[in-house]
Amino acid sequence: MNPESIFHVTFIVFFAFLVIQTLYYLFTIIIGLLQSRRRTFQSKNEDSYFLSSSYFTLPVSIILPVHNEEKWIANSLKSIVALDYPKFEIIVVNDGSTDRTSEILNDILSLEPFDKAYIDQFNSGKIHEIYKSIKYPQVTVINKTEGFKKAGALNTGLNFARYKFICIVDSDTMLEPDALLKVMIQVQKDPDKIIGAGSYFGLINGFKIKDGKILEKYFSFNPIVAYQNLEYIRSFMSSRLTWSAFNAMPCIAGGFGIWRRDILMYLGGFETAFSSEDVEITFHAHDYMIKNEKEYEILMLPYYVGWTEGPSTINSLILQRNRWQRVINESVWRYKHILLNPNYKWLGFFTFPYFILYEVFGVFIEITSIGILTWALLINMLDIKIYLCLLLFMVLIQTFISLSVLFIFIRDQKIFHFRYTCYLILLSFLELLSYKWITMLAKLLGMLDYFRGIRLHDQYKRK
Amino acid sequence: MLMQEYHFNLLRNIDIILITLTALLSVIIIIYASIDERYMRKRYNKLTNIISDLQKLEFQGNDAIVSDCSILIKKTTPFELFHILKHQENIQPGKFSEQFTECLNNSGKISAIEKIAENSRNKWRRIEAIIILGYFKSPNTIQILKQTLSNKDSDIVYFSLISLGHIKNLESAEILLSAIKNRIFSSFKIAAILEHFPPDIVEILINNLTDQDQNLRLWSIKIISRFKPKQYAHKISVLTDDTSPDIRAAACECLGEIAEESTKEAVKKCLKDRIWYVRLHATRALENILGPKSIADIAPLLKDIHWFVRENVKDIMIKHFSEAIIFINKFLNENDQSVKQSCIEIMDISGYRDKVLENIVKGDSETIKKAQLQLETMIKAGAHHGLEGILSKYSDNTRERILSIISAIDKGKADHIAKKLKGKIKEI
Repeated sequence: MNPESIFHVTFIVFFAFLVIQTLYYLFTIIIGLLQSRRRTFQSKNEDSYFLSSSYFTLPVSIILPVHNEEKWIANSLKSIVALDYPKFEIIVVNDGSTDRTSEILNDILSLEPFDKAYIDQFNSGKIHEIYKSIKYPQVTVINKTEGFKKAGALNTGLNFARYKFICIVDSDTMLEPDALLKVMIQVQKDPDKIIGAGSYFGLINGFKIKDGKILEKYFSFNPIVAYQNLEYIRSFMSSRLTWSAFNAMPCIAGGFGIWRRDILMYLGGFETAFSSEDVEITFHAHDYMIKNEKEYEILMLPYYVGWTEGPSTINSLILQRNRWQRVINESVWRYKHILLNPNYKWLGFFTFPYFILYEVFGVFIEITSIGILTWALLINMLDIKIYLCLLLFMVLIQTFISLSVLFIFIRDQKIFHFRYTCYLILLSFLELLSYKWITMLAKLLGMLDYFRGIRLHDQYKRK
Repeated sequence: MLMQEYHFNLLRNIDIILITLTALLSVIIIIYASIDERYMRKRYNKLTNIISDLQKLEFQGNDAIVSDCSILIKKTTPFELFHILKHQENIQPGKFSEQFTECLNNSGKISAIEKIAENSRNKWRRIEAIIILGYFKSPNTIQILKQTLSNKDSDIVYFSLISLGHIKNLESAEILLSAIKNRIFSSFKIAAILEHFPPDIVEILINNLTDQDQNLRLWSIKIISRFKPKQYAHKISVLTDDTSPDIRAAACECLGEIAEESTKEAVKKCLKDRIWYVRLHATRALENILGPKSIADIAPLLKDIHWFVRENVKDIMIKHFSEAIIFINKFLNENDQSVKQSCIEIMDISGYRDKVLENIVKGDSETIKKAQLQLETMIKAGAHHGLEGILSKYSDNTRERILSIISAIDKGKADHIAKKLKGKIKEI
């Protein structure tokens, strides 16, 4: 192959990649727009009185895995015990914390040790102590040995959970008081069919918090955080709502997710061998239900239910995205039989190909293409005007997608202030020239670590 | 070169289109964000003013309320009316809800809202109108809601059910029950709505208990349990023989809520049911009916094969500990490790072990002797786990004294407790 043919092939592949990606996003934006509108109206017209005061409201077991979270655990726990929901229990699994986490838990909950018979049905690690809260009778704290990652801690919680629905919350997530109510209203519309549900949660960086309560929602102007806000909106408001509309949701995020207990039991709990458990459990649930020919639905909702701390430095962002990339690779590899499999319908033909093309190989296609185009420019095979036009095209497509989703978000979820909206508009024009490269580097490192067999659930340092 | 020129022209044109689109979208977002904030504030102020005017009417005579209120209501849009009705508690419904309904009638708004509920093409405006009708209860409401219940759109059906839930009369209850029978929507949701109806609906629900449809029988009995009608206890106890385990479990639950002693035999029979959740509900029901006297029948189920049943029995035994202790001592001398562990848990939560140790420390000679015997039973049964937690509350001398008693019973366990105790004191 001569250099000219290499260049032409690259050009066509890259352009096709961009066009397919654009069409894909345009489709998800349209569906996301309709879904977001529908859910927003549903929520506005809802009469939560019937659920919040009903004996028939399904109780929920909340599992809160904790590992060295001394900075966040107090706020997170206080927001959970204050939830506006008729019946729920909280199981805090202290996964070998070595910092002040145990002390803080004791201060907030006034813990008292007690013996409890339980059956270890899953891979969850050794339990040292079980405590009951004197202050909040619905709270149980379990101290266990570290070693099975977050999945192991969740499995421990699952061993103790009593209710039909399980809610998983990250220990750095603060929930809105009506978080559970908003999601369970939708679940209770068909609890026999809905096996999992998630909802939008944003970044808490910059918020004014006191005693587990959010006093003011000041969104951070730190570009690393603001870009993540934009990214979260893009993901939740377009792709995830579309996947959910076609029952092809690939991930109920670990920050806040609801699962039906019986399904988790059938699946054998959470997979401890993976870097993270959320994508795997969602694919596993689809796989199980389809193989067993059961009718089911996994929901994603656009309501903001909670806030979590996002990385605020480049290093911590790279560390987080590295793990996300590994999880995607691990899940895609394990569930590769879903790809273009007619039994899996939209999951096999819409979600999974997207994952492979854009989440797994996308970073290679983008970097190789830009590299070859730059090389073609340097050896005068490509006119600089075309090169610049192509770069501008990429920037504008990305911006157009971001702006469209931002519009859906500000129309339906009125939480951003005017100044912040303007700031996000500005950032969306610059994303491809700045933030995008950081995430691409993180993805590359994630790929490398995946092939090196690294399966750690590493945490970044909290500010 | 020609090819490159073609590519350039194509890309340039696409870029121009995209620049225009992104610029336009940015402007739209900025305008929308700035207008929306102001519009929301304005709308909020208007609603607050209307509600405050309605609140002021409270101090006027009944006739004045009707006429002035009608004038106020005439000025509102259906959307504003929807919000006022949705937050009726702001306008003192207890004091002038009747006059408020009359003024809505006089305002002439309702026929317009009925039309929107029946025919509007805007789905969400239609739903708002459907909800208003539920609050308003006009003569045509039931007929309109019956019609909207058969709509293909699940949101319209759902909000029609909610609206029927606000009417709370026998007619709307019958429609909601037929929705359960015809599987129009999740029975959970419909039951949650019917639960808030007045007790008159029990008559209809009782008639449904003999219906062929299993789902209707199940949900009828579940809703009945919320009203606890003692006069129907025997009719309900018949369902403990139903072919469906769900119905048998629901019947037990309902009998437990009613707590009529004459139904105890029907419930006791379900303690031996082959389905675990029927046994679970039977234990709860029997405890509700007989209180502490139920322990003799319930305690053997601490050996049940199902974890949930055992957990429930455990809770009941904790609640009635003094009646349960005979069974606990018996189980501790048996070989089933899992039952022993449950007994330890019961003793722990009910504070029995604390009491035994306290008796050893502070009691008279007779009490000490008795407490030592109890401690021996516990230690031999393996109920030493967690003792370190209780021991850590005592002074060094007392702790040593108790440990020496334990050591006389089982030296190995005493050493184990002492070892854990050292770690525990450091940890907490």
